[in-house]
Amino acid sequence: METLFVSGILKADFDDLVAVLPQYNLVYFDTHLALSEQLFTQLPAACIVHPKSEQPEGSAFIKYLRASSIEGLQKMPVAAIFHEEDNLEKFALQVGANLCVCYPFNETKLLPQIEQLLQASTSKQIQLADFTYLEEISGGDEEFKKEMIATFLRTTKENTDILTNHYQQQQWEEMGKVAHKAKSAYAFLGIGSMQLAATIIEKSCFGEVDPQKIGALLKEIQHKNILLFAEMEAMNT
Amino acid sequence: MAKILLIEDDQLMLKALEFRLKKDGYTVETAPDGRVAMQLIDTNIYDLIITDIMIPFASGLEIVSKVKSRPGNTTPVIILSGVGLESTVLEAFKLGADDYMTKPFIINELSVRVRKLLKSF
Repeated sequence: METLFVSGILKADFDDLVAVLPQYNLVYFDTHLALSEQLFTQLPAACIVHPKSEQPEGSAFIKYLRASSIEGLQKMPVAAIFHEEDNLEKFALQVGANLCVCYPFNETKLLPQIEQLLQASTSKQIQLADFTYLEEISGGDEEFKKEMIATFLRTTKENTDILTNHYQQQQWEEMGKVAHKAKSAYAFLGIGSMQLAATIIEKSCFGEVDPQKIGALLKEIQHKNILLFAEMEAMNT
Repeated sequence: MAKILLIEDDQLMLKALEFRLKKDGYTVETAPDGRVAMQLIDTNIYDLIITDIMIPFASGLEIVSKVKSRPGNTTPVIILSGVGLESTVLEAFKLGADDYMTKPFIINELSVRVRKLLKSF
């Protein structure tokens, strides 16, 4: 029985989904963050997420997958799930979803969609950077925008170096604090996928620490930063 | 023209807030940490202070305490905090903080709150 991870929808809607898909093992997560963390210990056959719910939203999670250095994550089939009247199809496909499923669920329609989802193979290139918020606060001031981007790039590079150093020294608490700081910078510029990456590191550094998992997470954020910096530097010239 | 002291160690946040407040017509001085902030507070009079809670060398709580314990104090203080620091925000209110915002926040909203506080003091 294939396993599908689901997040970002109400538990009642999840129960409806389970009722129409008894042939799959559906696993419910309260948050996209909880689902993202689980991916480092178990890879499902596909994920089904709401593209807008929560903060960072489901679209950030999809981008997080698509920018992964781990092939299984990068190519993970993802379906966006939402109410038909929300009209999120174009948005969901743009951020990297393979297809969309809508409530109310209809077994005749849903089953072939899930079969199609499980066959999907993605190597879609998506854009991580999002300057919507920066545009809003800059009020069109190009100089200010450039200064903010330069500051972001400088501080994020510094934070990543410090994270790496703390990882090498196995200083978990300090590493968690720097991840928290990095998370704020990503959140400030509205780069949800990176905010998610930093949040997972922050959470993993407190409580029961798994150095191997933290190492994989660090590698992920380093890889995603390279993609992000290239995008931002191109935009800032 | 009202004079505002902005205390924040996050360079992005500091630059964005400074940019917006100056655009709103205020004179803005900045401090990247508690030590610099304490020196500025000792030697200047501000119409409003905006401080992050988690800053190096002295916490936002110490800033609130210092400002509010001064005789004849009328300077309002806005606290900026991260999610999960609710108990610290409560502590800040006990010490006399006038308002707070949780990060990440919409800068337009802070701008409105600043205007409102400056009018009421």
